[in-house]
Amino acid sequence: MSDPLILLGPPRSFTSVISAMLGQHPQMYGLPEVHLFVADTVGELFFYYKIAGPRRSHGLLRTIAEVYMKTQNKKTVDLAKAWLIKNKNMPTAEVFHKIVSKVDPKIVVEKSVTTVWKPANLQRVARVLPNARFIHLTRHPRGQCESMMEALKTETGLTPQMQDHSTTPPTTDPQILWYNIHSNIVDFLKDVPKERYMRIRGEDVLQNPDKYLREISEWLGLRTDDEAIDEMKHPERSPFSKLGPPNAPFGNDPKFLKEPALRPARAKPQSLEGILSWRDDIPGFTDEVKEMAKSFGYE
Amino acid sequence: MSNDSTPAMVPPLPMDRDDFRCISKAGFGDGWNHYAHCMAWFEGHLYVGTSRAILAMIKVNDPPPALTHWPINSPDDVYDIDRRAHIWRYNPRDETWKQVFISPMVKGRTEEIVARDIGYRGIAVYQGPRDCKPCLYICTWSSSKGQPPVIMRSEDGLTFESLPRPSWGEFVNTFRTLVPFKGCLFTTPTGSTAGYGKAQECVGGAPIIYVCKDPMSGDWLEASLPGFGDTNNLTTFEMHAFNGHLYAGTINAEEGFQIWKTAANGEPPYDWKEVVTHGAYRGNLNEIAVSMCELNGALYIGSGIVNGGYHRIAKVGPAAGEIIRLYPDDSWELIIGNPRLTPDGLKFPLGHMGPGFDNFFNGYIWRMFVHEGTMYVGTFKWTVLMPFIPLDKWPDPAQLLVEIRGVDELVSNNAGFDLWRTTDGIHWGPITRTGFENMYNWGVRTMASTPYGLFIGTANPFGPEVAEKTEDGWQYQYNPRGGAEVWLGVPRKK
Repeated sequence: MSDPLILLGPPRSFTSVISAMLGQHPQMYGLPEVHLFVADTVGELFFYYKIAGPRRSHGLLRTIAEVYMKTQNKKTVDLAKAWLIKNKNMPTAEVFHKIVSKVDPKIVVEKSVTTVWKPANLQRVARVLPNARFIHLTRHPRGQCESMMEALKTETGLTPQMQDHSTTPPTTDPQILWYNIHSNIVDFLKDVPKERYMRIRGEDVLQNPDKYLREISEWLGLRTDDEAIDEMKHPERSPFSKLGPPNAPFGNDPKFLKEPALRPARAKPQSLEGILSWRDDIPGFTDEVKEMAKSFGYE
Repeated sequence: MSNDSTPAMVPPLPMDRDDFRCISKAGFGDGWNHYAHCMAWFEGHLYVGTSRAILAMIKVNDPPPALTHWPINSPDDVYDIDRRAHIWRYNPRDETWKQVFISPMVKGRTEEIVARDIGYRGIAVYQGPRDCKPCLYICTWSSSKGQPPVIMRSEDGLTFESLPRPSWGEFVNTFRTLVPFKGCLFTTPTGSTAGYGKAQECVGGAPIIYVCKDPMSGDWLEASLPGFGDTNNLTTFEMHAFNGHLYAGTINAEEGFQIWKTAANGEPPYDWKEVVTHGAYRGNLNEIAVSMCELNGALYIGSGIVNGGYHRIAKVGPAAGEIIRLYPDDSWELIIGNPRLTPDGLKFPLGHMGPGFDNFFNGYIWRMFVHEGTMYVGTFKWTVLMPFIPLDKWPDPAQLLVEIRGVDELVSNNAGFDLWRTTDGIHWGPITRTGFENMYNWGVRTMASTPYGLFIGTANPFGPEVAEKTEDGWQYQYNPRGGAEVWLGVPRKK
């Protein structure tokens, strides 16, 4: 079986669109967010859904419906859920391997945001997929944080990791999450052989998709012809790039599901200096954030 | 050059749940022994001091916790209970326990005859200039009607004498820390009383550190200014010797704990330097520096809030405790807790868990101890009180958990202290998250590292009779798992 490709990045870092783009390569298969690496067993996964909300289950339900029953509708999603409930003791690793084998020989592309939330989840990936390859996807902290603040206007899910607890009450400040998650990823990749991961700025991929999609395909040993690259520029063609059936509509960033097409104009030049639009009680990004962003090539 | 014939040095493995066994339960056979409050290894034996009738005392205190039904069967007058604290001795060679001391009855400040000691909160092995060898020194806890607490001394672990106490005020009723440092003994009051029902076991009212070279002389001197000059420092709660300095942590309900250090050079009072402030910039949710422990050249500090996570009088919390670690150069890192921006930089938890090891109910990081290179950390957790709490008065995190899991499921799967282990402060593993499967073990109060293993003493105030919900409502029934327990952890061969 082909070894999967795992995208690692904070939320709102172009992971959804780039994962869908990669998944459109004729030799790859892009999944929605299956969140399988937050737990060891399906039973524990259901417990996680209880805490994090049922929306976290949508990606896995849609995946099972699509790869096993070739269609996503209310009935196939119900069947997928019934199968998971019946197999509560099954390791999540086995579920993932079943999906991988079902789409074989295509390479599975996965990008669940929960994977990078904690080092324990990343370590679980390393155990389950010892030969997986990784793309560390970055986004300028200003763009990522502003996008997070925009998302928080309409979505729930504010966690303590997005807040500065030095103030009373805590102040929402997504730069903390940006730094925390990238630290997790950087630390994790220190133990991964260099030939098995690459670090890319999401803005570069969106602004110059031909160049970077070709580079990634070449790194993976896949076709790099124009037909393959052109197909990758249509993330909207993925069966997961739209709302799903009413009992599992999501499985990905709702904003992406609403507008899944490639939009290079999203990536605007930004600066690490200057005030922050989401809080005015500090002068700007912290030194730690700026230093890490500079190491990723941002200014 | 390696030599294959040389046996490799194999460091001992950290212990797991199966490495621990209970060696004493139900309060040494008396369910009113609620806490195994202090422990020391002394001349081949383990010594354990108890504290009595904790929940009975809380019931009569003002203000009491807002519980719908009192969890244990206790009288309206706490003095109807035999409150004499015990000291027990364990011989690990023949696995036997012996009660070596019980508090005397004395005439109290109200002229009534009362137990002199209702608890023993601290213990140290120390050799003063007139001691022919290291001796046991013990902190006592006195009742509101009793006289202020004394220091006890024992040469042989069988006979105990009381020594003159520091010149703290009549309102002081307890102290909990005795730290040998640079040939002296340091202590500080940690509890006070203004009369019956008006005791505060964590607020000493006289936040002064005292030092004495010869405890037999009673010549205690003031080693610090009151509250280090800050009137918001209500108490100096915990002290630890580290890096050639004595470190002291305060209770500060306004701004959060402070950590101060001194090299104790010259004559007291010494020069002290503040090295952590504003509860490591979490504010008063880090109200107390509860516990301290050195591991790999850093001082770990566990936090909490008075009264187990909710300071009723000061209206602080509820919230769970954090862990930070402090280096000799006074820089610090957040290990377990909430991320924040601070004047010392952006801090996020290097142990990748939020307050209370991601558990809202862990109100204190109560004790930390190193045994054979691994640090063991025990909490105070109040989940067991959930059936008695009017939830509408509690904050969103507690209500949300109850909505998701239900009170019964929360209590059966979450009640009982956490015990975690780490060798580096970054990677943590749970040993138990249910008080060794006893929901009434609500805290790890004391630990001792010995040649025979790691001993753990629990806080368990749910004896002798606990409220059980029946078809006819709450009824008090004998609780065979109520009262302090002692556990012994010995690494198995692996």
